Amino acid sequence: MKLVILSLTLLVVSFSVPATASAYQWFIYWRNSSLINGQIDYNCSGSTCNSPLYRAGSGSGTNACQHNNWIPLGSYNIPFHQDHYAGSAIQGRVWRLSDYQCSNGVTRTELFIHSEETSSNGQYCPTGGDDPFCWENANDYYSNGCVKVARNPVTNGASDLGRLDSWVHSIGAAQWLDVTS
Amino acid sequence: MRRSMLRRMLFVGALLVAGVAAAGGAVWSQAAGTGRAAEPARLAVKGAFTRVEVQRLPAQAGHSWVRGTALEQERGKSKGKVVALGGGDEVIAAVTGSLSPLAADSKDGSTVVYSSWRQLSRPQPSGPKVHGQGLKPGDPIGIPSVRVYSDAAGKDRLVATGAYGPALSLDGRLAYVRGDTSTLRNNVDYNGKIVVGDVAGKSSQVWTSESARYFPYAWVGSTLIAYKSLPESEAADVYAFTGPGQSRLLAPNAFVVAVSPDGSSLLVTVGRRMVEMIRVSDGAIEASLPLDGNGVALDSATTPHALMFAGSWYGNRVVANSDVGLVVLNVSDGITIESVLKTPGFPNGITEPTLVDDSHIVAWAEVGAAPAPGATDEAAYDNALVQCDLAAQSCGIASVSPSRTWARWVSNPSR
Repeated sequence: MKLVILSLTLLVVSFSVPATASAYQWFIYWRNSSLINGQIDYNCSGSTCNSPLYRAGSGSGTNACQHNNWIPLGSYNIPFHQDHYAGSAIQGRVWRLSDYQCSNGVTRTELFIHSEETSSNGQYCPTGGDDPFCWENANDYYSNGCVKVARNPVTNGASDLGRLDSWVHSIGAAQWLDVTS
Repeated sequence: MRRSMLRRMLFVGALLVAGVAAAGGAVWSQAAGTGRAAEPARLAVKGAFTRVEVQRLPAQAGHSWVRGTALEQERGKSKGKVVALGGGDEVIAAVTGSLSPLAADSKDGSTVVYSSWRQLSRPQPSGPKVHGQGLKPGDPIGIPSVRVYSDAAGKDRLVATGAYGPALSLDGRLAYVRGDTSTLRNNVDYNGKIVVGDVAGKSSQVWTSESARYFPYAWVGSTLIAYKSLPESEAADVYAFTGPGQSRLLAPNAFVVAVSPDGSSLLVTVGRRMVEMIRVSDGAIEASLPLDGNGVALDSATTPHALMFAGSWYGNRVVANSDVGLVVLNVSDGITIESVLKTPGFPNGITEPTLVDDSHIVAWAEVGAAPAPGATDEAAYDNALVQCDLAAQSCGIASVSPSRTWARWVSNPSR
């Protein structure tokens, strides 16, 4: 009897989990030994992904255990995602990442995946210089430690950021980010 | 915003002056090359350091250093003495990294203020079922403290628990951040206020009314240079604090590369790829060097993409770590890149380089192999004290220690 109940329970649970939620709910970011020529992807099983790679960048230096430098290798939880984040430094579609403590004890904090856009997912480019909520060019891949993806150009109705965001909404939520070399 | 506009106006004014000069045939002083389009490092000396491991570096005879919880005093009355530090805690700067020196000494070397840390969490290696190092938001990570050793007292003493980032002025004033809570927690902002007092701990004043992520760096006379982090970011603004409730924004979204020998100027990186010399008294931009101007290849192997904070300034030279090696800047007439020296064998370059004369630096470095492809966590590099000869392009390393046993020179960027 207990076996039958257990089997029925498992059957109900298996039908209640969306098929897309099986093993494909995380991002992978490859640093590629470059601050601005990394790549990010999703819909991956292991390190094999079923979608095109998107260019991404991280940090303003290559010492992962110093503030402001590229993101340390590791696997990060994603405590929250917002489409209309209204922060003072970053806005729009963002994924907050867990903090990281290096083996030498130094803590890295305030890590996100984000781009340069406004909280309403638009572009605000008031000057000819580097505006924080405006994706101007490839220099915008540099970051203060976060992983950054492009907001422009928009092709076939979406930017790289938009495609990542659409995927996340299609599966419900991204669970974690793996950062690899 | 108003400060930012003022800076922009000053900078535009400087450009106008430069433009008038250019009309008279003057050259573009910010670039090391022959014109506005030249890559800043085009004419710089390019090279690479050789590296040799030695038992003891020459500089270890005259500069105090820390290795783990041992302070080797090479200055002051206790020269030659080994002092136990930490009071049972580790001697590491877990909150600040190199934004603040691990340990800074007084002018005569007799007093050393430093950061310590009590680890509470046990971060797990990343794996298929371990994300976020196995920690949840709010989990306790550790407790930072500020401590001091003085020859006068003859012992090591706790200044404050739940505190970090000590900066010691030449006249003996100690600044640090007192956290709103003693424990740093996972994914929780560790905010605090800047406190200033004397090293003896007899008096202290809170200098900031607002709690924030501050990082004191150095004193310039009676002015404290400190970072205030931007929310949701490891970026920071550089401020000059002059008393309780008194501060001035010196450079937005910036890090300090070095303080001039007379303390009148800072060399800072602003934004992501701009180097500026700014005046401490009013924040005016005295010179600038864009690292991303026309003529700079986005993936240039010789122009640094960004200079690291915590370099040093001696005479007309500034040294800084960067993603392409050690960079030597000349600041005698604008800012030019004099040398770019690669650092093979040092996977993260030469960190916190301090010029001890025109052509020699002391620093520390991580040693070991870079993470292999497919690595799932950062490498636990060993670290070591370093002394380099810029002219000979050679470095000695000594006191190689495991990652958690920090080997650092005792230094003080205050002026």
